[in-house]
Amino acid sequence: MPAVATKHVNPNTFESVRAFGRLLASPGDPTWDIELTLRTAQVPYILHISCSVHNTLFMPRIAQEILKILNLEFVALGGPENCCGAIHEDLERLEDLQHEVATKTLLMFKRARPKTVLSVCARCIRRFNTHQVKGNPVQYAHVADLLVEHLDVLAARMRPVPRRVVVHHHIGNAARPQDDLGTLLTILKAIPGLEILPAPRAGFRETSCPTIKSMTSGVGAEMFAEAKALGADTVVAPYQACYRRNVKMQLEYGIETHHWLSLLAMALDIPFYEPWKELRLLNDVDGALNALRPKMDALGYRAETIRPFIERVIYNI
Amino acid sequence: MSEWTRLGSVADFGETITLVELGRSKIAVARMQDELFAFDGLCPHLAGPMHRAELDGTVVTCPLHGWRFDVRDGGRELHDYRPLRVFEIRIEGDEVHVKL
Ligand code: FES
Repeated sequence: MPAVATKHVNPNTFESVRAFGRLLASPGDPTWDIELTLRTAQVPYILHISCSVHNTLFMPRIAQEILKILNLEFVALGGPENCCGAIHEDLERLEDLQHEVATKTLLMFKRARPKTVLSVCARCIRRFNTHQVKGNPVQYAHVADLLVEHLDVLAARMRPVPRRVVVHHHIGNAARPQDDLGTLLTILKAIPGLEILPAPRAGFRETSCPTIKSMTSGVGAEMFAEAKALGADTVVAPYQACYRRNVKMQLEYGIETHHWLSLLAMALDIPFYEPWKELRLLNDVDGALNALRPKMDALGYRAETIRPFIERVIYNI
Repeated sequence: MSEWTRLGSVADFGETITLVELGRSKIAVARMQDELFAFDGLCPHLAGPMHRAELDGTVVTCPLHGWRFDVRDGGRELHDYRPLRVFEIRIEGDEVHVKL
């Protein structure tokens, strides 16, 4: 009898992704397909709703609204079912499955034959580009790159956003060959009223904040202290991971952290909600659990399930 | 037409998943909550390797995208996606048989 004894694995991460995708969704946030539909094959763009933005759905929401302004037809496709494999890459016991996961998603995109798959997540884009499947004509692009192409149309509709901002960034980001800082500055400079302050401590070599061990206590504090000394009211986050890591600094420094898409939304009058930020700024796990309780009850989630997710994902405990 | 096929001996199967290949079929077998279950070795979503699944009670979680199936509940997916095929098994003496 050919038999293979195997080890246990724990893909629990997907459960927290799904749970927060439902619990933290606000009215108007995107909904997405998890599998191909007839319509997927008829539109030029797929907006990929990556696992990494399920708890900050305002990011793809703003991207979605901007695509509508630009009259670009798209469908939203995402969820763990369209994972890029980053979650597997990060878990030693699942690491060997990362290519299989990425390939299954890429084959789905290939069948859909969109012109471009857009994502807010730089890591998804990097992984889709490195795990390419043969004969796949689909392009993978970051939403920021598309917005730069259409910046003149958007700039004409912008209203002033009177904020003094420090632009946090990561240089030498291997996740994207493009010049992320250059792209980010191009977009921010188009927003009237935004004052970009020179802040040498806002730049980091690492790929994103979670990869910097001393971010919370050390270098992150230096960035916010400098921002405060400069009279900034906002630190702009380039990636969703930086946003999540730095939001809490508002409690100590009184300076808001905003993802760059939020500033664009303010300029374009696009409403958005940040429940993840609200829960983090409560600075209280029990308080966050209580705030989620009505929705948990409505969706059938139990406190024993959600509490560890809040601790791990929102409070990084 | 379904037929009974020998899977192995009772002692072959424990609390971790064992993959048995019967011709072109892949059958995952594990003891969960003191009961032996046999289920499809390929996930009904995109053929993920169910022998790599996580076990929690009688719930098995596919390692690719985390679909979760309760084998005691006929393989129902807990988010109501497509169910996992769970096979009927019969133990005769020391022998385990599966109905394919
Ligand atoms: S292949 Fe099993 S959940 Fe996707």
